[in-house]
Amino acid sequence: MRLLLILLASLTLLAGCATTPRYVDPANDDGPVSMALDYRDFENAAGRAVDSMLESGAVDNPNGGRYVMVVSRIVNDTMQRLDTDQLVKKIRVDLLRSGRVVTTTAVGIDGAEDEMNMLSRTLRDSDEFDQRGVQKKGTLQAPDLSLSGKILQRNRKVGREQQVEYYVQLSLTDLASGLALWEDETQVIKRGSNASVSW
Amino acid sequence: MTHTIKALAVATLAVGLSGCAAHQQRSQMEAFNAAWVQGDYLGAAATMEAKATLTGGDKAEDKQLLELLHQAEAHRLAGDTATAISLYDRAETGMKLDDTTGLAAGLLEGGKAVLLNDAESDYTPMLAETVLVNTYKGLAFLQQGNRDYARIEFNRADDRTRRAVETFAKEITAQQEAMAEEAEAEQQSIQQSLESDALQESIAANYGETSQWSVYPEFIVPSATYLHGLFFLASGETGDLERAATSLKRVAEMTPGNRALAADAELATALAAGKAKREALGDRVWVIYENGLGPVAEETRFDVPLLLFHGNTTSPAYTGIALPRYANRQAVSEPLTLRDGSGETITPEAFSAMGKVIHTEMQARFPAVLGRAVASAAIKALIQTAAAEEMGAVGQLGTALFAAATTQADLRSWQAIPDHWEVARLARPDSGRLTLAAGGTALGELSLPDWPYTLVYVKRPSAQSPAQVSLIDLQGEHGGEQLSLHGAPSGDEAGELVADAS
Repeated sequence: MRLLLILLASLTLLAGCATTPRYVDPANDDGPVSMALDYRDFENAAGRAVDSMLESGAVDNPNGGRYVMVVSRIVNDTMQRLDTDQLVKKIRVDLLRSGRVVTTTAVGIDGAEDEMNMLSRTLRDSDEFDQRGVQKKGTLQAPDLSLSGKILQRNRKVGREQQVEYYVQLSLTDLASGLALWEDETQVIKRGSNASVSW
Repeated sequence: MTHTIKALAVATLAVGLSGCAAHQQRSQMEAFNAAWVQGDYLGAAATMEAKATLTGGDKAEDKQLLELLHQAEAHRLAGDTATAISLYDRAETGMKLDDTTGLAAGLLEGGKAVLLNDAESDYTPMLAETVLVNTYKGLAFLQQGNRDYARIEFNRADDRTRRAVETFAKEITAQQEAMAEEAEAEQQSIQQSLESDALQESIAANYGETSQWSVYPEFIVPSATYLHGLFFLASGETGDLERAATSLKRVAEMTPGNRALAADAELATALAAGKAKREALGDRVWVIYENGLGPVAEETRFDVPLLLFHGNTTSPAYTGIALPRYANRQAVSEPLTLRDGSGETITPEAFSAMGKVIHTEMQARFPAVLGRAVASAAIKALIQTAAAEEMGAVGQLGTALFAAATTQADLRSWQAIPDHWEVARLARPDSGRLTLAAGGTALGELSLPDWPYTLVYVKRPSAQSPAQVSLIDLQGEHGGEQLSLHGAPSGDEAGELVADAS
């Protein structure tokens, strides 16, 4: 019986040690760091990229008004299955807030980001719809700028540890001239255990 | 030493249980191979279903790693790429768990290896196998038309190759550290035995000189590095051509005389340097053929002279050790030939012999494998001496039986990999038709898609099995096809072509 009580007490203690869910403040998250890219790395990389872009003057339209930007391909050249949209979305949000750039969802490398752009135009000539509200021809705006890039990963052994280097490389191309108006590289360097692979 | 003898009783029970497990494992592998050589890949996958835990739950991935590897490749060959990828992902989770095992679990695994044998530890894949996991997964993603995820897998395969050499060095150091932690008498016995000329001579006489093995100058799985190179050659992204050139040159240098490999290295180098233009290449086709059954480990048992420290005396003793020795199985002897629309016949050239890859790895790991086997033998011999002193003849007999039952080599390996790879490259025939034949008999005719870079990936474990063909867009822009070429029924030269999945 005593053994049973000890076992029960041990299990209770272990259960008490289990991690409970809790909120994390993204602005003050000093939780454990993994070797993989996490949301903090995306926040930092995107924030630094947008600051650099705005400071460079590359998105200041000399004719006034906002540039229209399209998101081209962001190649994930790492060893992790990343959603590059996570990085791009933060850049788009910050640029939109700057009042200098707006992103089109009507065109994209793999087709329109929002298919409703074209679908809504199929309502033309439909008797069921009030044609005054249906989009007219020639209203979609073509992009002026294209954002493309690559996220690279290089691993190496440093002493007894593993160093994982991520390079977030972005380019902003003027689609009229084909010239890159702005380019930037943000590095995320992590060092940790070399016991296993970094992914 | 008395407590050791008490522990022996527990260990003996473990031996009984592990003996059952070893028998089940052998039966499972025999069933897998029986289905595999016949080309019944789903049947082969079914034989490798992992057993549930004692409580009826699923085993953790590191406890069923060997099963996951076999199942994954069987599903890939059957054309079910989604299931194959999911199983390979779980195998990677198992490999990670195996690498990052906590200190306590690591000591337990190490203790089991020394007190019993390597085969009692969880399966740790060979590094060549880990590289192939990511390569096969990369092929599966390409077949799905998912170039983004394929890129990740080829990057992973490349990183695993980079880590391999470091790992060999680490394993030897870890073994030395583990020996340093043994009690003084055991440590002295192991160390001095390992350093003795008599032991080295015995190993050379009974096992052979590992330095005489045919090995590559550095660790590499040439087929994996080659596919890495081909993927980046075809991708067209900035910076990829330099990586393609590096990988393809490395493989070509490892296999002098293979004209296809040399031509690819030359092409990638010229493209990277701007001396050749993609537009001038036209549509290209690569045929890669996985031929036969890969090597398996066989047990070699023999007695070695040990120097046992007991009290203040040193006494020589002959004790048995068991080491794994890799033996080649069989390649399909009928050569694969390709005939394009113009009637030209091309024979793929061999490279990446799996036996050579495994010997390269085993040569590097052998000191650690031998160290564990000698440590295990020395400890068992010391236990026998102590048992004889404390328990007389009964103790000596019991411990001798224990030693005999537990002296086993670890013979586990991934048996879904081939004997070797072969490669051919050609311009896409104008007709788009390519006939595959084996030993003069047509296996079937392929209708090649009009992609710029097409990979025809063929795998045939045995002459009894059909040739499994994956048609893959190396640029990953289109989903591929999986075909079984069963060969020509009598009187039908065109052969039968069966689509399994797309």
